[in-house]
Amino acid sequence: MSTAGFLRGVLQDRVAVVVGATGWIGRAISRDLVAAGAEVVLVARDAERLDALAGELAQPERVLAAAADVTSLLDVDDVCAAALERFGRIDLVVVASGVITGSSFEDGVPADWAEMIDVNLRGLLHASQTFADPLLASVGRGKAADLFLLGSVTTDAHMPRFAVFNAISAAVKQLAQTLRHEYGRKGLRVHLVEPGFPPASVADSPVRDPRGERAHSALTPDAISAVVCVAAALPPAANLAEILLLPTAES
Amino acid sequence: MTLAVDALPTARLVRGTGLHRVPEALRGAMILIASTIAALVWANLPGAGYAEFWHLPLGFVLGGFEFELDLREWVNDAIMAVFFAYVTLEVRRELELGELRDWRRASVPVVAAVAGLAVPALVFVAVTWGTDLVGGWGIVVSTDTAFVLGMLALVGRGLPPSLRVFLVTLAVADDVGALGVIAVAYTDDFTPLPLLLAAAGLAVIAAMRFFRVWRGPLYILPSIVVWIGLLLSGVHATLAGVAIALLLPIFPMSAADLRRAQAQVRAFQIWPNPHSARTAEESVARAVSVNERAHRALTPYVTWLILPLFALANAGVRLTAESLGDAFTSRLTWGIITGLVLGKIVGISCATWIMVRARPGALGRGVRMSHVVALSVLAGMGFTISLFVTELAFDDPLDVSRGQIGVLTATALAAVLGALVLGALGARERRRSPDRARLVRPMDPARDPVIGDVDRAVITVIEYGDYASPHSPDSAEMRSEMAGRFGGEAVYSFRHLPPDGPLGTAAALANEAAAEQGRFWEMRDQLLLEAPIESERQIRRAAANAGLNLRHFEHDRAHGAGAERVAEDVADAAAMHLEQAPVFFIDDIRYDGPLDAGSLNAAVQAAAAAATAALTGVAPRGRAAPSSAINPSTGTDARRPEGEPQARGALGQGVHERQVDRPLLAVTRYWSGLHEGPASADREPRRVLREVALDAGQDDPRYGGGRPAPSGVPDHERAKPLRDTQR
Repeated sequence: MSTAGFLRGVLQDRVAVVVGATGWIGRAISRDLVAAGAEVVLVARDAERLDALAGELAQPERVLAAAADVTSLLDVDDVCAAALERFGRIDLVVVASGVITGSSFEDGVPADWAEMIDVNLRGLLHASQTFADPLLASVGRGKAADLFLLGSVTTDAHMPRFAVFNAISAAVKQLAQTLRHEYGRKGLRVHLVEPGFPPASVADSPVRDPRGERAHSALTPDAISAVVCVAAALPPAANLAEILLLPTAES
Repeated sequence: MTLAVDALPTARLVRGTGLHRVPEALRGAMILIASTIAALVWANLPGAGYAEFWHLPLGFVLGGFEFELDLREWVNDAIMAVFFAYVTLEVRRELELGELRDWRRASVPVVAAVAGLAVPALVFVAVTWGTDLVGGWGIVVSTDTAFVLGMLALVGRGLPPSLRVFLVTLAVADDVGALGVIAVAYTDDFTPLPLLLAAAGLAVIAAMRFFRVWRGPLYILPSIVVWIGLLLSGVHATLAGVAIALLLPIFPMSAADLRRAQAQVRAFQIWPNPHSARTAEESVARAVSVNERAHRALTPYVTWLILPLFALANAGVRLTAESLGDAFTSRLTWGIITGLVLGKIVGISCATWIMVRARPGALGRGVRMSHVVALSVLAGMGFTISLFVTELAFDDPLDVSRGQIGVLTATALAAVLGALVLGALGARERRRSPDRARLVRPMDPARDPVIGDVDRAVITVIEYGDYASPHSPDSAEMRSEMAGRFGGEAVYSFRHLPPDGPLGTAAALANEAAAEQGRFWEMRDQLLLEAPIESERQIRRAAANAGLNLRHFEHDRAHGAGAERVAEDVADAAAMHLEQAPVFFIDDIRYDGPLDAGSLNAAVQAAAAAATAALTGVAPRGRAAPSSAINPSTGTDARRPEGEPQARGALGQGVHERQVDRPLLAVTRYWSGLHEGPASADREPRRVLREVALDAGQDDPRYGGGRPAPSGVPDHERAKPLRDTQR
């Protein structure tokens, strides 16, 4: 099942929300959070794939599937309410939703940029702000609370031909730092995970991955989900704040 | 300006109070008077031409079947069926969409109407007791809706508009009673078999409705069958109109139907051809209920043809010294006059008085007992149905003549007395509050959100509105109208006149809560997109789509943000007797013309031209000196001629702070916050205040709900982000 078998049970009594749960990375994270003992709310746009994922996880009493479009504030708000109704609290949120399109900048399609900004940045803002409330409430009850933002390494070496995506990733990185300041002093841990490959559901849209990079990547989503579980399992006073995850043999 | 395009039909649909009919009612009443006079003149010409004409037989023979009515019967039995159908359509509309739907509101006029039916009948019976004239009691039960509405339009200026609502409700309830009286008391020679024919016709109509046949003319044939069935059965044939009208459903316009119609019209626009034309026509027609389409189609015929024809055929009484002397010594005539005039006054006034004693405040906004008494005098105008019943009740021409003289006398008497009383009342109210048509609270940029440039504007347009009209333009349209069409001469603001019910007020409060985040107009646009607001969820979706911080939005709503402004608006509206949204004030004067875009535009343009003329020194002709742009807080006049710059600055300042230079303002506030303590202005957009509060080391519990105060961070570091905005 998971490469992170050693993490089994470490997140007992946690209620997690995975936004973008049906994506390439989101699936792995959802699976490992369930394996680690957490109750998990799966959030994604496509209800069919969401149900399929929930079925695979085979833990109906610990899993809630909630379809939502992260670019809709109302949708996100509804999911938050549904999660609270079902599990009573939320103390771990992973924002793993995102789309990616790449090309040389001069060949870029402006509508693709708009979509990326909408989902990867605006959607992330919606989710962060909406879930911050229940996360802070969990802190108030003396529990650990974690907000994971999924970014991407923004250097050209790892992501050439993804100018706009890289720009958004830089924005996410900056956002994570500011939120860490703002929420850190209130006891909410904000983490930024930066894998050295696109953190989105590229697997399902080969057209949008013109060079097929990911297929050759040495990194797998398992590594990211393991890191998320580890960071969440640390004692509340410690924050594994920025996690740069690279292939051992860098190209 | 495309303010409230089509607000009129929508308003009618939404509330159906019948107010829209008033100018038309006035016209209708005048035509009715004209044809009554014509009938009287004609009947009193030498010779018997009038009586002979109306007794000319008209009919047809088909094999052995012969059918014949005289001309007056054709009018009274056939054409009047259309009138009764028309009345029934109105009753049904009021029952399902209008005042009668809400029993709490309708109870007073309905009870008054019942007493207004019963007391006159009792008076009539008392006067004629012991004679066989008692059976004519039905003559005095009904008030002529067309006449009283017309009279009210004529002499009711300055009276509260809810009085008209009261009267419409009363008249409608009264019509129901009268229809019942005709059906029950004045049906003779009843033969049940032909009723089956009528039933069959009705079944066909019901089936056509079920299969959504929408072409009106197809309904004519089965309607004729119903009419013939009723005529043969002895039940009064005009009731066919009632039965058919009851089958025509009424429903409020649904957003889905409107969208479908819009799409079809669009398709026709893109590719005009007979098929798409027909589809578009059909979907547009279907969006409106059959009832309303029928009502609208019938209105001109009823006003211009049917009622005048009826008056012409029935009001022609020979007025000779002999006939008058006979009538005014007969108990029948006096029974009718006392019944209609005294009976209506006593019945309606006493019933209302008792109802109001039992349930204070049950009268509409601004309606007082004195209004109702004046109205009850007017209600003695019996005319149409009274003449109609006179014909039914008596066979002896002498009795009919006495009855007609009684009805005409009572109607004229009630009209004159009612006009005098109402006119005096209206004049007194106008004297008391001459500024009723004036806006009580001038536009104030410190409290009113505005579209347009207050600095440059010479006139103000204020709308008292709600979110019921799906056709209101959004703020972007409004901005381009204000800047484009009026060249910045007009400035627009919106105030709340929410409909009854919790959600109407909730939507207004939500709009104000959004203003706390500087998003008044965005929220208004979203609420309009959701209109009509029927659920709390729509408000929440509007807030999300307007891009609000939902947590703060809910917090502000829970703490009544802007409730004061909504309450003030509602109170102002009540003081000015505004009843039904939208109401526009152009330059502080109530605009009472038609609400279509063209008329409104013209009015705004005319006002702007007059104001500009006043500014440039050209004397405005026949127009009061404009005064709207006076800021109550400073008392300065923003429209003084050039050379008094201070005056213009007073208003302009507010707009700059609120709309144009917000980022700059944040910086200014920040510095003043550092040096003078916390910011003071309550109605500034919150995010500005928050920055100030945070960076001045303040933590306003209103905004974060107990956020711990930042500590251990040096002042210069906290100030950093705001300093950046200066660059």
